[in-house]
Amino acid sequence: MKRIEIKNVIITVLMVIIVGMSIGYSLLTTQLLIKGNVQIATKWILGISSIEKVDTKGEAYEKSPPNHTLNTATFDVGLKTPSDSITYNIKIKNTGTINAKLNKITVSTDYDSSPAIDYKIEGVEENVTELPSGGENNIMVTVKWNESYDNNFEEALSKTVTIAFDYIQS
Amino acid sequence: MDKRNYLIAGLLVAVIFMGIGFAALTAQLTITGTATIDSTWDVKITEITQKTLSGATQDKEPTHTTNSATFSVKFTKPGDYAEYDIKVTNNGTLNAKLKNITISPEDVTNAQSGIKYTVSGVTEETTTLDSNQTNTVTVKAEWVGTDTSMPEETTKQVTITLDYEQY
Repeated sequence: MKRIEIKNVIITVLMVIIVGMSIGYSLLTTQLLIKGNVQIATKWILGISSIEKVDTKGEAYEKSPPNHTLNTATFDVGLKTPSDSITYNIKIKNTGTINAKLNKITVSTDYDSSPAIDYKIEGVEENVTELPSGGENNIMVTVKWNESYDNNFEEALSKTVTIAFDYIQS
Repeated sequence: MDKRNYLIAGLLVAVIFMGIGFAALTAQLTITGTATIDSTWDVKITEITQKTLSGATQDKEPTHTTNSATFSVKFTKPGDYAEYDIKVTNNGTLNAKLKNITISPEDVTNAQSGIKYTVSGVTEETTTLDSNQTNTVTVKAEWVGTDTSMPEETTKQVTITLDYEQY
């Protein structure tokens, strides 16, 4: 009887040891790391660098000096007699590293604006004009009192125009 | 005289038997067991290769150790991307399973602009890696193609952690 009891004790102890080893065995793990680094090595920087009056005809005058930010240029002129006009040169520079192209020119005017005032854009052409890195576009905008238009002065006497130049990567 | 000899002999035999019985009652039993772990746990990165470069350039050759792989690329325009295949091999005798994939920072996987990362080829809690088998993890880095302006972050690093465990 004692032999059986001792054997049972030893067997039981060994089983406990084996079970314990199995539990420890199931916790094996490994952690692997993947590291990625991405750098955008180019610069997309297009902007208005200046606006300058380059021509005046008749009695046209600047009501306030033109001004600009990187993305907008504004001017405000007065036209006293038919055929008066002022022309501005707006420079757009590409100081980035990516070549650009003028994709679209959009002109919009305010509602109920004077039909006697004309705007003309010269120097660039949508889908044609390129603006390479380091390059410059010169856009001429002329505002004029159309002398051939019979204005009875009962219509609107002012006209605000917004011209948008959309450049894309070429 | 003979009777005493018999008695002595009998007593001696009794003593001997009693000794034998006593010895039997106190016999020591010994069981010796030896256990050896003859299996191995060996899951590691064995290779990283450039899969695709579209508009992108490699800043430096990809490298790896048994526990990590690294790559570095440069983009020049929206839509540029690079893909790398990272091989994870089980050289041990114990089967493994991909328990968890952790990507840091978290927002790189669903970026709507700028730099985006995507991991494919493996699925956590599903992909297994049996002994002598290989998992191929594909990591794609890209400049989101719909961007029309420069992103605020022009450099972005990511760390992808793969946790394998025995199953």
